Amino acid sequence: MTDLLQTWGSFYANHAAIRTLIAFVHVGALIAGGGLAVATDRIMLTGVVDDGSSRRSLLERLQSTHGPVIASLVLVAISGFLLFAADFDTFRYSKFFWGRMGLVALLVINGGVLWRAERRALSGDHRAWRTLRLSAIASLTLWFLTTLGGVALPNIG
Amino acid sequence: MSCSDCPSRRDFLQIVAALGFAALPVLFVDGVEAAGAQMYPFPSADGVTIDRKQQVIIVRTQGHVYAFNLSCPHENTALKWLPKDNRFQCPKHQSKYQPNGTFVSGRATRNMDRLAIRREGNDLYVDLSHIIKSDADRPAWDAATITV
Repeated sequence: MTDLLQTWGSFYANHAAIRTLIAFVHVGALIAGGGLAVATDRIMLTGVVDDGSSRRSLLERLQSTHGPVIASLVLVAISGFLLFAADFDTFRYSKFFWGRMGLVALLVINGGVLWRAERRALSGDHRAWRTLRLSAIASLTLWFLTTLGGVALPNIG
Repeated sequence: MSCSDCPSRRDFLQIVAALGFAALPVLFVDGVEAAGAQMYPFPSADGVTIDRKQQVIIVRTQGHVYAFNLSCPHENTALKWLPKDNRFQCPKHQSKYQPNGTFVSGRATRNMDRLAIRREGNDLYVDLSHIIKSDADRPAWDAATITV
């Protein structure tokens, strides 16, 4: 295992094109998924009225974002694992890195809360809308904190 | 526009504050610098040892022992050791260094920063209080080694 990590670390360090590709996938997926999530969160917080048809329309829009956001998170996770493996010795001891992983875990958990509240709202439970909006606030905060963590990691480490 | 079940301003601030404060201990946890000398076992064979807590790299190579600051001289990112390539490399801008700290290529403008060392029996003492930079004090940088 150690030999495999060292081989990957050496390959990564010696190939600028590979480093560029992996960084692009990581940041690009973060922009796509995070951007879509943030835009939807904003609509959830600012664009809702107490009207059945507009709420239904908003829920349909929310449902349509799940696929792209989950796909982007998968790409972020795969590229993130490759980045982690390329500098395993640094990251495994970095409390900052593990703190960022905790934020990602919170983001996934919040996604689950959002998904459950959305199901309840679709079945007519009006109390679910409060959860949806709280989840949107948490989502906005976590996406930006996760991005801050990614930017700070190479500088503070 | 009305919204009977919107979260209040207090709800919003509580969530943001809770998530923000949860991240704070992580943000500042590694900011402590140690002063004085740090003791390590004197390396008995060629190899690289990294003490991430004290930010020190100990190297024994080609009959010499060195101690380096873990940070890259360019932008202070932690350097990584590439055993397959027998060199140090900065993961941020890919500056490369020989095992003795000599700059090879990249954005850095000097060699890896060394720390003064002394041997007492089987112990190696590293002076953490002063970083020796090759462009500021070349004679001290050259002297910061023990021949074995």
